[in-house]
Amino acid sequence: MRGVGRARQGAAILAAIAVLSACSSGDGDPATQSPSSSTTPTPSASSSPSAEAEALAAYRGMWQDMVTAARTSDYQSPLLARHATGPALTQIVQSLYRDKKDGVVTKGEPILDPEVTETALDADPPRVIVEDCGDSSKWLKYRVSTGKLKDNVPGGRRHIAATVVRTEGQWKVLGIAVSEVGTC
Amino acid sequence: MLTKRLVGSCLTSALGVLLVVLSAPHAAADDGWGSVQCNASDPGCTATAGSTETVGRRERNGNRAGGSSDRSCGSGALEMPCSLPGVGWAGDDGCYYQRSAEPPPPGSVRGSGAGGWFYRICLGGNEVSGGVVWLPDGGGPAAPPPPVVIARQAVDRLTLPDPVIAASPAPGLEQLVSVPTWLWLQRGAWRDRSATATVPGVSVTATATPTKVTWSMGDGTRVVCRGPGTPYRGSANATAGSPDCGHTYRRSSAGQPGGIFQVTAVISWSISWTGGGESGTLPALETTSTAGFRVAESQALVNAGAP
Repeated sequence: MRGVGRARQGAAILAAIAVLSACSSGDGDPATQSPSSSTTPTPSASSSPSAEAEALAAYRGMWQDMVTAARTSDYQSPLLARHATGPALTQIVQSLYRDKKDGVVTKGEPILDPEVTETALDADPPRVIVEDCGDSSKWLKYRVSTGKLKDNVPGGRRHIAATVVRTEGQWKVLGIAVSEVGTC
Repeated sequence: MLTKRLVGSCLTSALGVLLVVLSAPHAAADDGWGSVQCNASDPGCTATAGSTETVGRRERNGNRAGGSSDRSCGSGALEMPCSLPGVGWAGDDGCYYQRSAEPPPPGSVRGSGAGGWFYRICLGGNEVSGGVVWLPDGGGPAAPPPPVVIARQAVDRLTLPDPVIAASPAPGLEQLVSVPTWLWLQRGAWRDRSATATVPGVSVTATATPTKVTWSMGDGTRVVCRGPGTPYRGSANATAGSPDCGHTYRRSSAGQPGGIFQVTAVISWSISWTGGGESGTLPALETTSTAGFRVAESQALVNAGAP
């Protein structure tokens, strides 16, 4: 099952060849293997509590992976695709790429407080909406050259909403909408 | 072929890299989320930042817990939420769209005329697929939601008051058979209410106007009043009826459960909306209150009232 996915994925990628340095490390690294290939939960109403928990875990996992990758602005980190896909993954990769290019890394960690605000487990694919008021006060950007804060713009609390879907038996964040500081 | 699977990391990473190379510099605040922050003018972002506008969902603090998803876009098998956070607006082809800073995959064809690149996400078959597509301005499945969709969101934000029932004799006192009962509502409820919902470039205001009150008197009578009714003044003749909203009971409530008539007042609100260069109406809304009226026989007054 997973193999088929990979094959199709590979075919799709051929179209975009020139830029695929990000791919080689990802595909070669066991860390990118989905751990879920042996168990594929089926959608059902009774799975609700665990589905919400898994969706929240995916949401938290996505930011944790970004935190890890952002320490070195490693936009090619194979971690990033573990819990994010589609536009969400693209946004994160872009963000880290910019920082890499600018000689900036991000240190510390945000404080998350997510909760599920909507579930649609009968939807195709099953879907959960997560909302959060994330605090980035201690998750700030530093210049690699000086080791000092990039500037004195503080972080703060941002409203974050995320669409989490289950594809191929695994919950992943599909979309994230991060609002300005001070929105919650 | 513009559609590509998004499940893997490589494609999206590659697109991401492409984007950075080609796109304009990005203004960012300087926390870890600075460059992930979405642009408020981006429909995909607003779909999210405005998720408080999303209908039928629980708000973060649970104010609307239990609300059902009664609003959706599309129809039949294509029925879907009108927006999904970070994914975009529902297009009329069953896929979601948001404007994308991302450049197209190599080989994609840019359309002629004004338009833009959109991130297209299709959900179905337990899969997520999508890609970047070119769509002409103001058209195609990714056009911003029609104003009426935004209007529904605005309607959802309306806070309409329940009627506060007043009567003479007062609901707590006994009404008397054959003596006119004056019916009215506290005036505070009787005014227009408005709410606005916004997506980039389009702001729609919905206005609820009270049009009538339907009184169910509990004795099988229904009284429709075109206004809130006239409050009874002590000086008015007790045997004179209300000029615009009243009822005269012909039997007592003694045989009713609890010995009272259950009186219900329903305010009908007509809903109009305007915005996005359009205007229209939506189905009326109602707010309701109930009070118990005890109606007693009064032989003397029956006689006096029927000379």
